[in-house]
Order: sequence, then structure tokens, then C-alpha cells
Amino acid sequence: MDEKVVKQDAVKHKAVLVNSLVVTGLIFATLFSVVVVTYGLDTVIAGAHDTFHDFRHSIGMACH
Amino acid sequence: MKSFSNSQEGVNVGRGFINGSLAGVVTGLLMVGINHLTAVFAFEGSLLQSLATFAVGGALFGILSGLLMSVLMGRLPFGIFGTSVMISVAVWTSLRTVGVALAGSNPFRFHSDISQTIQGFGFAILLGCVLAAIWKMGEEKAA
Repeated sequence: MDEKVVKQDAVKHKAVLVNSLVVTGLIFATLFSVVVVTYGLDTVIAGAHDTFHDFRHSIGMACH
Repeated sequence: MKSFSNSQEGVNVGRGFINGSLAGVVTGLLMVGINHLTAVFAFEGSLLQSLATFAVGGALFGILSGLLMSVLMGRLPFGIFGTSVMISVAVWTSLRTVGVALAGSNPFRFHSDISQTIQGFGFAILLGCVLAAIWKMGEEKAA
């Protein structure tokens, strides 16, 4: 019975860890995309500057 | 996203992603109209291009705000509206602050405009409000 409880706890902890890693990964991936769009980083993704040029100006981000 | 359902320890990622993207698309499309009203910046592309890019750009901001909201909701001493607006304004302000720093170091590539900055701040508040409204509708539907 004790072994079963320990195993269930281990599975639960693994699920929480995976959940946290996925959330963190999603946030960083989205943040990366937002930074590329916000600053028009053509060096990272070609065409990002021209594609989102009007959007960038409309939300007040610095641009030339 | 079934494994990431709401719990005391867990975070509802799916809800944050969906609500955030929806709020972002709506806010982005609203910004097309708002910019036409304020005439802060003259669009260089066609209306169709503007609608598409504003929807995508708004969705990205919305997804980021939604994900942060799913993590911080209930952990901050504010209600839904307070948390949502605070998160979206914090995200926008952080990015804008870095933009100011970039403008200082490379004024040819990055330069600031006060009227656009004010409109951008309004965008952040609008995104927060729309996200909060969608979040609240979702909670009422679930309850």
C-alpha cells in the first residue's frame, strides 16, 4: 500500500514537472515571436520588418 | 490540453492560449480602426494586409498575455480585470522600454514617436480589458 502511494506521488510530481516545462517553453516561444515582431528583426526571420511595419508603428514601438 | 486542467498546483495552459489568442485577434483588428480614427500613423500596406498582420500581431501579444494570465491568475491580489490589464501593460511597457534603449544606441534604426507611444499604451490597456472580458465569459460559462 505504501509503495502504491509513493508511486502515485512520483507520477503526480512528474506530471507537474512536465506541465511546468511546457508552460515555460510556450511562454518563451511566444516571447521570442513577440520580440521578433515588435522590433522587426529581419536578421532572425526574413521579412519580419516589412510584414509587421504598420502594426509596429500603431502599437507605439520604435522604428525608423 | 486535457492533462493541463485546472488544479491547485496546475496551470490551465489551453485556456490561457485560446483566450489570449482570441483577445489578441479582436484587439488587433480593433487597432486597425482605432488607428484610422486617430491617424497617428498612415498605413503603407493595403487594408487586407493590415487586417491580416494586425490579427497575427495582436494574437501573439494576446497569447503571451493569456499564458502569463493562466500562470498568475489567482496568485496576485487583483481581480480578473486588474490582473489582465496589469499583465498586458507590463508586457508592452517592457518591450517599449527596450525600444527606448535601442533608440538611444541606434537612433537611425529605432526612433520613438510620442503619439504612437500613447496609442500603444492604449493598445495594451484595450488588450487587457478584452482578455479579461473573454476570461470572465469563460468562467461564467464553465460555472
